[in-house]
Amino acid sequence: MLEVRGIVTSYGKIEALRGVDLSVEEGRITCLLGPNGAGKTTLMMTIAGILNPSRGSIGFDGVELVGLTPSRVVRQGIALVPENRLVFPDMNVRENLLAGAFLRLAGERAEVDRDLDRMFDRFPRLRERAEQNAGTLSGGEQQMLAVARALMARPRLLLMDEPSLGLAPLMVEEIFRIIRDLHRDGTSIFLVEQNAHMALQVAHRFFLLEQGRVTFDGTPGELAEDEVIQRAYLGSRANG
Amino acid sequence: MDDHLVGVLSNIGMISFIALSAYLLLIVGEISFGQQAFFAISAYASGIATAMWGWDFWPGLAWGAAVAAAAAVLVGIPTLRIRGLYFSIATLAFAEMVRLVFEVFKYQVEIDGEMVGPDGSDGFRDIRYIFENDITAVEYMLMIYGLLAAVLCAFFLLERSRLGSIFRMIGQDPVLAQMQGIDVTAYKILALGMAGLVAGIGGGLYAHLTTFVEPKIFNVMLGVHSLAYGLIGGLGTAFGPLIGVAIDIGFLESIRAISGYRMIAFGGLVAVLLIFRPRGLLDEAAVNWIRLRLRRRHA
Repeated sequence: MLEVRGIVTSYGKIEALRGVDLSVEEGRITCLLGPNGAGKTTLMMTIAGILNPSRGSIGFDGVELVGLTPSRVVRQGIALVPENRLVFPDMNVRENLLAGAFLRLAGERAEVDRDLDRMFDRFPRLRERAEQNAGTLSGGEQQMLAVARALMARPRLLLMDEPSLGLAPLMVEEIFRIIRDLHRDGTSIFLVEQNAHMALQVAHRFFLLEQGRVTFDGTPGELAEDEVIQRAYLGSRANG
Repeated sequence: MDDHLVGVLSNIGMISFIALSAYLLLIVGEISFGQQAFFAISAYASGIATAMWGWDFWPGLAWGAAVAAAAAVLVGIPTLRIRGLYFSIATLAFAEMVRLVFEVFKYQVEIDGEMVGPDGSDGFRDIRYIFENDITAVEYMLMIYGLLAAVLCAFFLLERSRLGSIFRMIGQDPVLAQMQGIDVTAYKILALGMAGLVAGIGGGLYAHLTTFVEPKIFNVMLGVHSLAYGLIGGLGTAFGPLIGVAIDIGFLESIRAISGYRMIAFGGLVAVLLIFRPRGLLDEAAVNWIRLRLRRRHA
């Protein structure tokens, strides 16, 4: 579904991604693990069109994404739940959800309203806080809102950048339950995570990203969890 | 009605347009120090239309506002692609450029034996449509407020519309707005064009009220003030900037006993509000609170 080939993305002279190859299959949960600074968020931003790679290609069901503006990428059916940039703080929860369906609002208002209801069913807490400003929600609620907003776009592929970051353990469980639910409903998910333990439980396939390159590609179980965790947190150099 | 009062109210009305214009850009997260340029462009363009080309007032005003909007879009296309401070600097530079162009801009025709038209730094005299057509000061004031009411209605409709939410999304987080599929640059250019139009209406009204425009009044202080009105009055509703104008023009400038201290008091007011209410008196939270109150009373 998503084919990333030889992507190089730089900040000035520093190459954050140094030729990344990976692929995401339809209907699966694919996970990207790696230590801080490995380039995980950079890769997500590159796929979403916010950063422009200097080399490489990103194919999405045969459409080349490199060179498209972020709004065009969204139109292709990719929604990103960004890290640390979750909600529009001065808009209420309902407005935030409608923002996710921005492209659909003009044509299919009735369906958007139905989806809104569905999101409130799936996330009852958001219904309780529908009129509340999103900036006043707790971190976990904001994360839920960000996921729900991304789903409002009815994406074919959902990109999630560290959804468990900074959340309390119970909330982390909740987020991963949601990820499993979404997968069961047929959403393809590409997940960036630091929490390797949780990620390995839901992922069908995972990639390890270290210093801007993919250093492992396989299914959970192909690599001992201990080693994955060590490399996901510290990188391979810690071994030697 | 007292002449002084009519004058003050007319001033408040006209300056409100440029304040609303700066406010619209604050909503999309852009700070412009140059809205006076569009005010000036329309003052000249509409004055030329009525005084030199013999147009009626309303087409002349519409023409002035349209020229201002077009100029704003032309400024926006190269500058809004760049993020942050650059837009503010570019608007400032553009406004000064416009002012300096008007300092040397000469375009005169002979009407009834007299030369009429912009005469460089001597300004543009005899924009006499209002007097030639026997429109009284009170009538003209009512025209100003009629237009202001129409523009305010447009703002309120905008705030409830899809376009209004897009503007607010862009203002709060342009990158996140992009991720929702919004073409941020295109909408910012649209906002700048609309802001140019609104400033242009004010500029055209101004030229016909004073009958005389000269380049130096369109200096950077007018732009800084129009920006400050929204910051003082509040960014939660279009009433905010009007409150700012009323405080500055209606109170500080027009009451003679304190007008000498205007700039001191105004500067102090801006500083205090930026610390205690960074989004103005009527900020989003205040507006939400008022809305909830009203809804409860009706329910």
